[in-house]
Amino acid sequence: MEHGPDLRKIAHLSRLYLTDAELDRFSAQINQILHYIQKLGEVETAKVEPMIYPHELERQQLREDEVRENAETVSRSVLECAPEEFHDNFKVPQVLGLAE
Amino acid sequence: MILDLQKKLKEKKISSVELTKIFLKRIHEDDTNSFITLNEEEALKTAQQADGEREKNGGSSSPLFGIPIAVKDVLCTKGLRTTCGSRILENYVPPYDATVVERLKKNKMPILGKLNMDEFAMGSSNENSAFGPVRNPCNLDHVPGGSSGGSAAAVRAALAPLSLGTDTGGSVRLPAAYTGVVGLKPTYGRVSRFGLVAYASSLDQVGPMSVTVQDSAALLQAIAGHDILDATSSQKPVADYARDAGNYKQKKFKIGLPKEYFVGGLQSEVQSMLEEVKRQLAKSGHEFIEVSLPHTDYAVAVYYIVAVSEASSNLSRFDGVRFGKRVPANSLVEMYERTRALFGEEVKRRILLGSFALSAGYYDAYYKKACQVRRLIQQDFQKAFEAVDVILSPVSPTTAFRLGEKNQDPLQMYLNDIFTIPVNLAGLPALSVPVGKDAQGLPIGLQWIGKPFQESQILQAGQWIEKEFYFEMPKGFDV
Repeated sequence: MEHGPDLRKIAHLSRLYLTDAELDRFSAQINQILHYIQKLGEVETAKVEPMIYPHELERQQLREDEVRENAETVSRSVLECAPEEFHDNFKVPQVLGLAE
Repeated sequence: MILDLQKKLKEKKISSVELTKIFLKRIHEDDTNSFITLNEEEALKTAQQADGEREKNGGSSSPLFGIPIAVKDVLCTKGLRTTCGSRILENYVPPYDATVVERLKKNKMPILGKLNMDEFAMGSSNENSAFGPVRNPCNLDHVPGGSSGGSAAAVRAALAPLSLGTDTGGSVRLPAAYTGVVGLKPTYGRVSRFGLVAYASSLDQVGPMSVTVQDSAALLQAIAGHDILDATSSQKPVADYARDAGNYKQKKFKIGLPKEYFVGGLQSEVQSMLEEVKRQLAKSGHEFIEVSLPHTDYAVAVYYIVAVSEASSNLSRFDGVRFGKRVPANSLVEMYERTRALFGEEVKRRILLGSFALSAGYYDAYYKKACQVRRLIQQDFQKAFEAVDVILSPVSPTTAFRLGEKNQDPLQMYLNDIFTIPVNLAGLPALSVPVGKDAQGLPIGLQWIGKPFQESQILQAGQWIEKEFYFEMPKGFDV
């Protein structure tokens, strides 16, 4: 890359709020790391299949969709972790109607 | 060591409760900052249950029955705070146990507490924790290594006889080497990742850490095996690692030495220790063969695209909606942004890198390219393993550095993982074993790398070092 990535845009995609000082600091560091990563361009990979998992998964890992626990107990235990809940829903601030 | 403790328990020379109390007392007096959360009440309850069962029907035949353990704070423990070393999960209490934790509980192992770590397992020095750095028990001004720094330091400082760590790019093996304990990263898929808070899903594995190779073998045996809740866990049968490790003398190895690993840059004592180990192993009848891993030089670059890309996806769940901290805001997006600002620097840096590598217009040049080179790195190992049984290498170019020495330059810190990263990329098992110390008294570890699902072989190779070359019992285990 000739120019560093647009960090403000990346921060927005990542939903990370960064201060101006952080933007400057991360910009320099990330450019340095990306410069190092350029070396991958030296490797010939035209006929190489990308690897996602290190071993071929042994078989298609499907199983019967069986209920193993009491649904209400599980729901309750999950909702108890929520910062805010409302009638068995996760409550969040306003979603629509505000400019991003 | 565990077998000795188990013998004492069976002979009623000590009870699980007494043993648990001894370790809890030490933890209270600890100056390494190895623990984030203690689990005193529950640990003693479990110890009581173990003693009760032992009294009633002899307990179980497992060498781990009733033996206390501590667990890295990236593994979910039901009802017990799990922070991943992060502010964002400061008060998170999981409603379920990780599968590996369930397997510990089946053995009635009192869980002493949750161990300090680099935030979300991102780091090589345990300086990235929101709960303060961990200090190396061998020298408190030095790092213990990371990200499982607490897991290693706790065993070294005799705060726990065993621990579980996790390894994504070296995070069990590096702290094991820096603190002079044993640490094993299993083959990818050997141990369930259900309940392991994900950093990089194609690289993460839970691994045992212990004083002896035999102890890691026993602990691996307890946690390994297929789990229906982890679609990436292997159905291959679990070998009797403890028995195989005990039979190490029957095995003479063809040992590969990767020529690309010895092109300079090693601390002189690491180099000379490797030479000495080589000499001794050759005297014992093992054969050394030079192998080549031509894509070694690209491994760190591949990792810092693949791991960070997976992390950027995995950490998107931390948004203040369903669990963890929430920073109040007027809109949903602002809530996401302000909540996620609670991440530490290293985590933010890796999320940014990962999001960039996966973004439109850059995906092919970065993520896809890295995945292609990853396959070539795995193929290097496959070719090398046609000629050898196991590969021997340093764990790190140096011994444990001082706190603050490397944490200003991220890239310099990343290059520390040059010997550990390729193993995760290729999905192989590897074992870090202590082999001695440098002039400052800091431990040196070497790494055995094995073929997929050949944990028995690397455990046997580790026994050759521990039984025939070097072993030091950390102070404080004579209970």
